[in-house]
Amino acid sequence: MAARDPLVSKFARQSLIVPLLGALAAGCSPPSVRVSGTPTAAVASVDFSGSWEIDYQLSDRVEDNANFLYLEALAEARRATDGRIEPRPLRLPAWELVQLADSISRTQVLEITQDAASIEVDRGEEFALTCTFGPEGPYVAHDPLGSEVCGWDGHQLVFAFQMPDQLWVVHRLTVATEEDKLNVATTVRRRGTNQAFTLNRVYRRFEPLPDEYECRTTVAGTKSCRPIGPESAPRSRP
Amino acid sequence: MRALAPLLIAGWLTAPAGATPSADWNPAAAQLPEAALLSVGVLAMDAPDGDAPRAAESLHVSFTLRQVLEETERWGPVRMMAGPDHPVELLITGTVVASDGERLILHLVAADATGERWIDREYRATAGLEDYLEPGRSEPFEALYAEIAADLERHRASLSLQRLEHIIEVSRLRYAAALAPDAFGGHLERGPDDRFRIRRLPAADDPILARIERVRAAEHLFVDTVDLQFLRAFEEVAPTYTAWRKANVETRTLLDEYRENARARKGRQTARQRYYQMRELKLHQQSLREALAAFAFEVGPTTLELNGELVQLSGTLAAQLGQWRELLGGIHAAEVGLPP
Repeated sequence: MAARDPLVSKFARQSLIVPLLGALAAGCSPPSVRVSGTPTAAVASVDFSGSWEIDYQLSDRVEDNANFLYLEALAEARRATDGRIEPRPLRLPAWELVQLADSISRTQVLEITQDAASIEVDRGEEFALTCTFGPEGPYVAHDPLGSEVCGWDGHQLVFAFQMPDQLWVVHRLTVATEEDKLNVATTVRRRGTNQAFTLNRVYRRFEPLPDEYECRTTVAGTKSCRPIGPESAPRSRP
Repeated sequence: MRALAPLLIAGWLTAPAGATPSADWNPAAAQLPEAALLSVGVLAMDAPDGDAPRAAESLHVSFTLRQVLEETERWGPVRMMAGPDHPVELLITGTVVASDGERLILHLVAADATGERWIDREYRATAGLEDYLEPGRSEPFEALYAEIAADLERHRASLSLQRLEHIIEVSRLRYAAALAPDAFGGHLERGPDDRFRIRRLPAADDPILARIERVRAAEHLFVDTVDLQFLRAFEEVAPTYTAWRKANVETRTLLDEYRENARARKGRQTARQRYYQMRELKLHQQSLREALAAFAFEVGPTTLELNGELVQLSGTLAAQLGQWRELLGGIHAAEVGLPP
């Protein structure tokens, strides 16, 4: 699924994200402050908690999304010359964003703990996404290497990170109505340019095996688990 | 935390007066007169509320100081204390003013049993990443602790032998007065300067004093047990605490590098470089949070054997000391025919 309409632009039209981005743009608040006056659409009925494993069949393929962007860029180039010049094969301007989006959304298993006041999305080797909810508004934290804001946007939970050079990484979490699937849309964007790239990763709820098992999901959709320890044969299930 | 194995102190009531079951006098200190070998109590320090949990911060700093003083072999027993009211000849209290891995600021007060303050000042030190990486070095702020030890020794060296003996005597009488105020309450007076002075000395063969000394010896055993609890808690927390401090210093180093690069305008960084810088910082912050969560420890119950009976003390160490005192006080009262 390509970012036909870049997701960040879509964010900007939505009620919560405008103040969220504004809060980050202010950028001069002390660490871990809340921005007053912003709505907190606390949706307690949305339950993200539990164990989620990736479903590659339902998730975006990075190649497909990159191809779409590439074709779109070619079409744009043709439009710019009224079709008089067939553009040379170009390198996708957002290529580094494609690579980055791919590398930071490879987590196979998410462990989410949530209560009325906070949520923590454990992403294995990636840093955990954490957010606290309160009446004061979305949570905002500033670090010299990056600022972050998180909060509810309707029934979705949004984590947005801003780094120097106006680089943005946004994770938008949405649970399906049946609460058996979770979509994590990761968008990487450089503001001030039209470069943006989004990858959707779909996760399914699962009951984790005891800690002594280590599991991996293959792109083909097979999950392979083995007891942690020497000389253990893998157990597979589709 | 685990409960300690029962410690046998049956028969303490018939032990000779003044016996201290834990008085492990150090041979290296033999050249010092006995009066110079003051017993030292280190009270778990106050620490500010902040990222580091108070208990772990206080435990680490206090116990490290205790270890350093003991290792000098220039003092009598050096113990961690559960509360300030146990009679020691030299009591060290303090506050951790700041501690973030890169800097350590302590405000320390050392006062002897008479109430005279030996030290009342702030100690400051800084440590870099290299101090954490140096092989075989377990404490990056070792120089700060060595400075405290040197200050204490310097002050003691300025005191006469008579003064040191006076401190020991006051400590003994304070304990006696606390346990048997009717018999010994009048031997001491507290001046307007809050210092204790001896008004009169008990007879050398005072039987009540001899009995109190034996009670005190038993209390020393409890204090040693408390000290052991502190040791175990210290050993449990130390690796995490050190990792937390090191991670803090690494994060600061990373930020310094980032600012330096920004100042020098060393070219535009790729999105990947930008993101991974932030990712590294986030991972550090996360490991800090996890390390801090692991700081939570509880003091376990203490089991001691008293006159053939197992006694279990529970609650905070201060509460356990209170329970122990009550038991000893009851036994003492029964022996001298007072109502418990």
